Amino acid sequence: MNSESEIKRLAKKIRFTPNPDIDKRILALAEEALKTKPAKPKPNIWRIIIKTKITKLAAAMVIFAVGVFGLVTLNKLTTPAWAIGQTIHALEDVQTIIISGTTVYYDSNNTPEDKPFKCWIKLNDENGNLLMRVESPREIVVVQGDKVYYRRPGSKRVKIFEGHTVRNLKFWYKVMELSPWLTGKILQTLKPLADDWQEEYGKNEKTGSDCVFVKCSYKKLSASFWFVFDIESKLIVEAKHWSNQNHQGPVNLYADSFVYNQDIADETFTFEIPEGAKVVYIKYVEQRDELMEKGWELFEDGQYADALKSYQEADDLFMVGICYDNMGEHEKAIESFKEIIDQEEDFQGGLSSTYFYLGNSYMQIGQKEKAIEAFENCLHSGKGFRDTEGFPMKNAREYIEKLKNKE
Amino acid sequence: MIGRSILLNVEEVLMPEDKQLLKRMRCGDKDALRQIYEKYRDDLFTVAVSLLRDVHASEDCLQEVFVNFAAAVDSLRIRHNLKGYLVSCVANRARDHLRKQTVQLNCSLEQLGPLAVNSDPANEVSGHEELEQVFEALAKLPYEQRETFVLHVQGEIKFSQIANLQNVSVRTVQSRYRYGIEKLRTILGGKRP
Repeated sequence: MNSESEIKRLAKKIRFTPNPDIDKRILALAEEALKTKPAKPKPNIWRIIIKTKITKLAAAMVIFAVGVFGLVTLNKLTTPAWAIGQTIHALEDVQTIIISGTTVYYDSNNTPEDKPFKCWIKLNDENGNLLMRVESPREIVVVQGDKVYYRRPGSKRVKIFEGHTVRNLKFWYKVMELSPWLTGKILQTLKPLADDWQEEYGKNEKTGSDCVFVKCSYKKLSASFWFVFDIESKLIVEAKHWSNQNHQGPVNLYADSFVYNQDIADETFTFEIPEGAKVVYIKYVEQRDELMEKGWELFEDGQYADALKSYQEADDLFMVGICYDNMGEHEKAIESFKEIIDQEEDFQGGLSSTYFYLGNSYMQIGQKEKAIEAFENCLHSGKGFRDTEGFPMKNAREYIEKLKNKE
Repeated sequence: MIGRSILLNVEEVLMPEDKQLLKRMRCGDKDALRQIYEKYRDDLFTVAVSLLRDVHASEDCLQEVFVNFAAAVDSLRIRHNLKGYLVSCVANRARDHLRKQTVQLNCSLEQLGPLAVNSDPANEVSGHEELEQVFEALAKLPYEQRETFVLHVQGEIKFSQIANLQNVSVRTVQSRYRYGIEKLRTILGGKRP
């Protein structure tokens, strides 16, 4: 039983059937639930937001104001000084927001370090487009309506995502991938209700004004949040996000400044493409996912040349490299893997696989020293993140030993 | 609880039969609910058992998914297909169970009691043994790789849907799937590529 197709075939044949008593119990409960469901569906939060004039923007901002909570949580509020509906109403008069703070990145030793970020948001330019700019030492993102520009500072590789509509959540998921701390992860909390909601009234330490401090978590995303709402303006003035449910450890994002309705120059939302930069146009997110799906099916069938085309279109450098490797074009594979490493797109252990395959490709063309170096980088990159007895760490150690014994 | 599916616009067309059954369910038709249950019960239960390897937790998982499905049917907008939606719900519930540590991981097939692998009667005895080997090998995968493999192969969910569910990129899902396959091949006596 050594082929993938055989393993898949057998896995598909595995079937379990519950005890008939379980069937009866489940059906009885489900029928009861069907009978007692509300006569009218509860308002769909996202649809309500879509109808307000602030919608396009505050898919970003509303996440701080609304997303985590949902209208249903209005019922949880017991103090009349502030209610989430007031924040929604206040946001209707907001045309621009400038958010700044810090976000965590991991250095080459996988040590967390805080870096500053700043975000400018303008709803409705003269064409009715959302404009956004996000800057940090690690990335520059500019959103102009349905077009997203991305590059790393100092990099000569620019990605342009185009064709999405703001209403398409996938657009925001892609923005999320580019700037995870800005919209997407928090945007996703629009949907379910927050878990473990707690609110406390107090004073803002910085300004002395009356505030509501809200803590909540979102289990589905393993995320937790802390918000400060100013009672007078009803708007968010501070926010924190953790990548766990318990508000523990390094804060993933701390937005300590929100400035509303400040005039923002138009040139803030222009994106400069450096001279000589390589510009990569990324298909719609759905198309990219489909290309990768298709690429994988072709790859599994051994059609590496056709898979390569799909992955090139999807700009999946890693799989481009793997395809070239399988086609015996190891120098081209090396180019792809090195481009990934140059971009540092994968971190937190992700580069270890890239280094491994880079080493593998060098080995195929007899470049032993470079292969050893790549395998050693694999071990360094994966330290603390990858299982030391699993792929690629164990394999890298074995290859290093094998290559060194040949000397 | 309003799930992600509620907020996405209806895009893909459901299978006509499932579309009809959902429509009837929304009118309170219990028989439609029963038909959906009977149609997908084994698929969902198999996914739950493959993930959780615990009878009672899998039964609870199946119950929670269906009861919530019945309660929320009016407000659901199922994007891909009904089976995919329900399998995703099972995966989410399975994670909840694991988080609460209400499952005993890595049960052997014998401990699963009367729920022996229910393969096609046309299989030979040796085929049944191979199924057991694959099932046991799945237990040795890290959870994320097992989840990816089970959802893709047994749940028939696309990588892009798994990526949404796991909240990672499609490439990460493909990596997890690849590593899972490699490990299964190693465990089951195959050679690495």
